[in-house]
Amino acid sequence: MKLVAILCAFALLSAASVAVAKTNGGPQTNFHAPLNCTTTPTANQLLNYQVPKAKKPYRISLMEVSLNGYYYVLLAYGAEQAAKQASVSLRITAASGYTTPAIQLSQAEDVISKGTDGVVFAPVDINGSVPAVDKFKAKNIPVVQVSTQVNSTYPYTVMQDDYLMGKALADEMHKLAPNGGEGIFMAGPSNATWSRKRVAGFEDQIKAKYSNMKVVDAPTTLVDPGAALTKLTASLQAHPKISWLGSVDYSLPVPQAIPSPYNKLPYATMGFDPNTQKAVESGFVKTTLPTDAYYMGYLGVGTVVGLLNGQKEPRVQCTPYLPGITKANARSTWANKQLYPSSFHAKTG
Amino acid sequence: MARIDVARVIAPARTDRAPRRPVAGSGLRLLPALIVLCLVFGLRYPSAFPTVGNLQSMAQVGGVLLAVTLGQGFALLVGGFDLSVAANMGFVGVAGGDVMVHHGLAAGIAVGIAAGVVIGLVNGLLIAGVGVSPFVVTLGMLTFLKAFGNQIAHGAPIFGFPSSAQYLGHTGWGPIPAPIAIGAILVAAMWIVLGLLRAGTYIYGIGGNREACRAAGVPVVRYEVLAYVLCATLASVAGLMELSRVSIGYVSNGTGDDLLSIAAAVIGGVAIGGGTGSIFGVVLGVAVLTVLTTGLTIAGIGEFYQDMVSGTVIVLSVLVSRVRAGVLREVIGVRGRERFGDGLSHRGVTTTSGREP
Repeated sequence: MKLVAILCAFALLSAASVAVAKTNGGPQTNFHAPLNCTTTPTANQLLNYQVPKAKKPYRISLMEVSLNGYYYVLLAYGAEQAAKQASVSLRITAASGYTTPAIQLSQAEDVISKGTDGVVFAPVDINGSVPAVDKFKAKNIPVVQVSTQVNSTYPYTVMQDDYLMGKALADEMHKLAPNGGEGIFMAGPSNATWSRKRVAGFEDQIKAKYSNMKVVDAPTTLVDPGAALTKLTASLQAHPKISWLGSVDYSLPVPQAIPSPYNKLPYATMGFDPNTQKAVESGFVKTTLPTDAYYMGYLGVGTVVGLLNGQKEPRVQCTPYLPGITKANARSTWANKQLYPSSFHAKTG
Repeated sequence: MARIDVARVIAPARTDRAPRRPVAGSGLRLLPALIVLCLVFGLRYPSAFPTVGNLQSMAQVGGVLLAVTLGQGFALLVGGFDLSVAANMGFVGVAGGDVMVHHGLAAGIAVGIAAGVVIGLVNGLLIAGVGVSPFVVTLGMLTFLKAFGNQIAHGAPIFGFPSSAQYLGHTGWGPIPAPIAIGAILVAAMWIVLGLLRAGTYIYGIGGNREACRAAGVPVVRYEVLAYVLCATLASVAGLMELSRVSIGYVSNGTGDDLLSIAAAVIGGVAIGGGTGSIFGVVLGVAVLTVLTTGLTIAGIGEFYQDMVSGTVIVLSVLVSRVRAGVLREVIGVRGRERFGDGLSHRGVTTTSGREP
């Protein structure tokens, strides 16, 4: 009897899990729409952007999701550079590993209790981070959200437009593979807004403009190079005749790890780090669209300082993802702005 | 000093278990499940699953998991476990990788393996010597290693390894994928340790009945520490293989392999609580998990559903294996115990381990 009960419990649990998985709780997000950008500076405009001098020695907080990853450290570097130029103090918070909505809420309470004049905020979850934003809203503390979206109208925004990045990557991919054909597009985590928007943009653009191209598989994976490589190699078995490869992030998988002969295919991705710079120069990656983590930190702090100074700041600033980084411009000023010096170490405190 | 026949002394404690069969053992029961899985995926996806390319690809993934699971097997056999193996892999990816970039392949491998030995020593001494629970020690080690790895790498990846590093996991040793070649060497080494050396007898014996071993004069602490050293060292080898496979050293390398290695070993018949398990079972456990995840990916199943299916399969396969072993009667309850007696009880051994209340 108990065996039957155990097996029934399993069946019920599985059915319930499937039902829950199919139910998308919380406010619905439209992944097939671009951000409503107030302004989108060009790469040159960003390169010439100057952070305003602070009227007072403000205390700014940068709330990061993690400091385990090049993207996050680069964001912290940009924020620190801006803080120095504005003459404000910057305090960074980040969880060990990746934070969660609950930890981020506790961190927000901690930031408020220690005292802050403004916050640059990288949400961990589009809905889960709303209570943390509400904490700052209740205290009238200005918030600039960076990196990814949160379902709140309170924060100002400095962000790459993930949906348009996806569309732009499709354009770049078509340039690399003008004859089209089937391809695999590696997605990020199933529940990550940034990844879902990039995939949506990429697939929408291909459907709309490039009828000779087809995404035969878009495996989702955690931001883990090993897991991504495993997923890709399995997907390649199911679709061995692909003509191109794309991914939402330069580490999914690491370009040099792509098995032969697929490492000779046109591969376009998003994001940049020193290894990707090498991969671009050695031809493993043909094009990568920068994610501008440096400018999210830099512009994020600049915008908070501007708000505290009483300046009018654009509500939604989108960072540019073009020009894409190729072998020709892999060492350009624009590309080097996507990197931080090896001597830089981000510290929380 | 008179020699004590440990095998004879601890024998009564193991009468409730399958006899020590380090090569095949009860893990063979998993073979039908593996064959069924292969048939299902092979028939459903004939052009993708039963191909040489897919075999090689599964071998590369499975080889790394095999290395870490073989190590985990040692910790499980002495009645413990090691939650820090994945963090160990990530740490070695960063520390060993960094040395590899600046001082060459040999130095990187040496540092990686030395790190494993030290990690295992610390784990083993705290668990076996001081008596702290494996959960606390290895969880602490996990946290420490992740933070230490991040401190070394400052959140950035380590890359630019010498080209010879690809022979650790990225390319083949001739026609054999490197992870499988290394995995085969590790299997042979584990077979020697468990099957031919006295250390193997003691490791099984400690897991079977720690107190009896102690009474028989077995240096229990020494061999329990050895088990944790072997566990961590094999995790470090897996870390070096993973570094080569993904071409990058990252603290997150090996993520998930801590629980996956325990799952693979347990699926393969290694008992939580110690004393029982076979090498072939471990290999089959790894094979089942690798075939399952690869097959589900080929089938285009999303990551969340994959995890749900994997979790269910892990529990069901252990349940089924217990049914086949007749041990379900114990799971079913006291009535079964009364009817069939203590000879079927696994719990009885755990309570005599000296660590559990």
